[in-house]
Amino acid sequence: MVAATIGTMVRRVNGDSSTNGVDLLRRGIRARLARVRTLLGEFYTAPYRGAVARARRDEDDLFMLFVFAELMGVPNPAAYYTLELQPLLLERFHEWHTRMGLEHSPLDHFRCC
Amino acid sequence: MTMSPLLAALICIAAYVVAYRVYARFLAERVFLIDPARPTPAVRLRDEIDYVPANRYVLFGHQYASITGLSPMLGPAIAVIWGWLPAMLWVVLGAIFVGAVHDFGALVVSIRARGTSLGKVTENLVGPRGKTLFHLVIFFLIALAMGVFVHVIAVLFSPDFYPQAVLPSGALVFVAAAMGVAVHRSGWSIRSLTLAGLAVAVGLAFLGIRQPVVGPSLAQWKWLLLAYAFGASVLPVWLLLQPRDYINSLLLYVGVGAMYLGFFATNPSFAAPAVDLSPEGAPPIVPFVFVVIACGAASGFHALMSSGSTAKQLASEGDARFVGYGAMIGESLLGLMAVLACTAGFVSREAWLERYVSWQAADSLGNNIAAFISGTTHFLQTLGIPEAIGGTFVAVIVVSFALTSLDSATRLLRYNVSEIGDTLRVDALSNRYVASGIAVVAIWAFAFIQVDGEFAGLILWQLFGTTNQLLAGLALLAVTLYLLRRGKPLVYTAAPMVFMLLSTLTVMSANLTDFWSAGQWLLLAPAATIFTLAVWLVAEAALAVIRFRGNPVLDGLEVVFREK
Repeated sequence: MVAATIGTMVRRVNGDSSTNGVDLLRRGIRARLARVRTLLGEFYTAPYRGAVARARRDEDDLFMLFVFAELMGVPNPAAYYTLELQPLLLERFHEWHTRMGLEHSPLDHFRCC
Repeated sequence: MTMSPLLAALICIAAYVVAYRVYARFLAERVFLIDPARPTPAVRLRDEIDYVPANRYVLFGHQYASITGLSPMLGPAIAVIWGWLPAMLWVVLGAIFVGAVHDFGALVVSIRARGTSLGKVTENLVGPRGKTLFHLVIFFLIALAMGVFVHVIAVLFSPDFYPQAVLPSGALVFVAAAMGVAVHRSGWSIRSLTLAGLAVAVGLAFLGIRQPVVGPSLAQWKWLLLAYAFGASVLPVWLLLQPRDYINSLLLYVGVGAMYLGFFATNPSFAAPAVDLSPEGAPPIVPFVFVVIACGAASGFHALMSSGSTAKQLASEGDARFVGYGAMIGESLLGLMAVLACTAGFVSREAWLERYVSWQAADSLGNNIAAFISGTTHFLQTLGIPEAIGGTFVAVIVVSFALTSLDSATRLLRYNVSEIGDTLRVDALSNRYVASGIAVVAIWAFAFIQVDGEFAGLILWQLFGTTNQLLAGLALLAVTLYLLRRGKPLVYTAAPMVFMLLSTLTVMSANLTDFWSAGQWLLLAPAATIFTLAVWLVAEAALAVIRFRGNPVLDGLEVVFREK
């Protein structure tokens, strides 16, 4: 009885023409569980998404400072290692310096804007 | 005729349903002009950081869990000293006509103002002074509430109450942190962690019964809790706040569900009188009942949540009624449960009187919350849960609510201190350690205030209640001004606002006279500040109404921000 009812519900949702009740029931339960799992995950992340993303961005900003410090005249003992990262991070450079409150690129040698 | 608690509860629940279906719909359609087709900030300003449209049930769950804490249990647990009827009436009618309208209104105004916080909206509608007022009120509100919470947890941990709750409550903090690391660093699935988390929580409750922790004094517990608050405020959110909030929300749903199930299965009768207008030593019922029960009926603190992350994640305006109004009704259900547990959860009138013999008997607040715990434990017993386990479990839930509030509110207070620093141009306050330090010192000041050699629990609770109502008044003022500018009906938000302000002002003036004549200068200072803030708010409201009256009605529903 229950299997048939759920089966009908699932068929309605999926537009499925199969008639095997048990199979449909299993599929229906699996779909329900998957939905619950997604909602639970969302329930865990949603409230703190902004805070976590911002904390990650702060960390990234500090990293950008390490990479570009030498170019701005700030001595950086790790410059030798960070130098090769510069081309990789150049894409984010404009966004970073504007976020740091500098409207134009602080570097004389290459201007990004 | 004697009313059965079961019938009373059913009538209240029916009232909630009707209010949500009829009154809230009326507000949505006629007052706030909700249009599901109008894009919300989450859709228009989507940035995957703050502005992300979320599923309405997820959002409801979050809003519900973040507005529901210890307060809706504690307030009614105190107020039933006047009998069950006044407390129940205020919990239900207050939620329907004041609290839920306030939460809903704050949410709507916030989504019409690009999802910004109520502080920003107030600044826009009332002026820069409005923002300062807002920040000061919030500062007092959080510091006071957390002072009370620290006190309540410390009392609950003391040997007279629930020392068996210490171990599970403390261990839950570490379980949460482990869960945070597992999810954030190792990418574990939430599902398995949920099951593990709940299993560990139950297992810990058993462990706690075997190993009650007795040792630290009340003051020592308070110091420990303050240290915890400081730590929670400076640690990254994913490590502690996020998993704790999550586990806590699950406990909340399981707990409230089980309590109602137990209540209906028990079908108890009231041990408390319906009305007792003059219990020994108690202040007059009007207006004190409105202040003693803040959360559960109406609470300004909710505006911070409504206009915070909720407003930025609302996927459709059509969800606002469900999330704003609905979540408050949900919280009120817990308030109602508290009223029922503290009046019908006792075996006899004598047992009830033991807890509620006089206002002073409940002065540590410990008696009140213990009444709630023993009442709900009584309901759970009908479900076959033994008293020792049920009691510990409810005590752990209660402490867990208080602790989660403590850690997230200390962080809020830290942000607030930083914002005040911004206004005053003091850069040092933006440092997280400095700001957290100031936040914890403020909480410490209230947690350790003493009256006649005893920690001031109940008096602080009243101060908290008034500040909370004051903030509700302020939020309702912002909503009312928003409606005024757009030529919409005002009475549905203005009347609750006036009501909130009147109760705040009368209670504060009564308190001020008391403190003055008793020479309690430590309490006089915060009370005088709150009173001043309330008068300031009334003046701002009057000024704003005068200023706007001559202005033409605005067409757009959006709040237009002045360029700086």
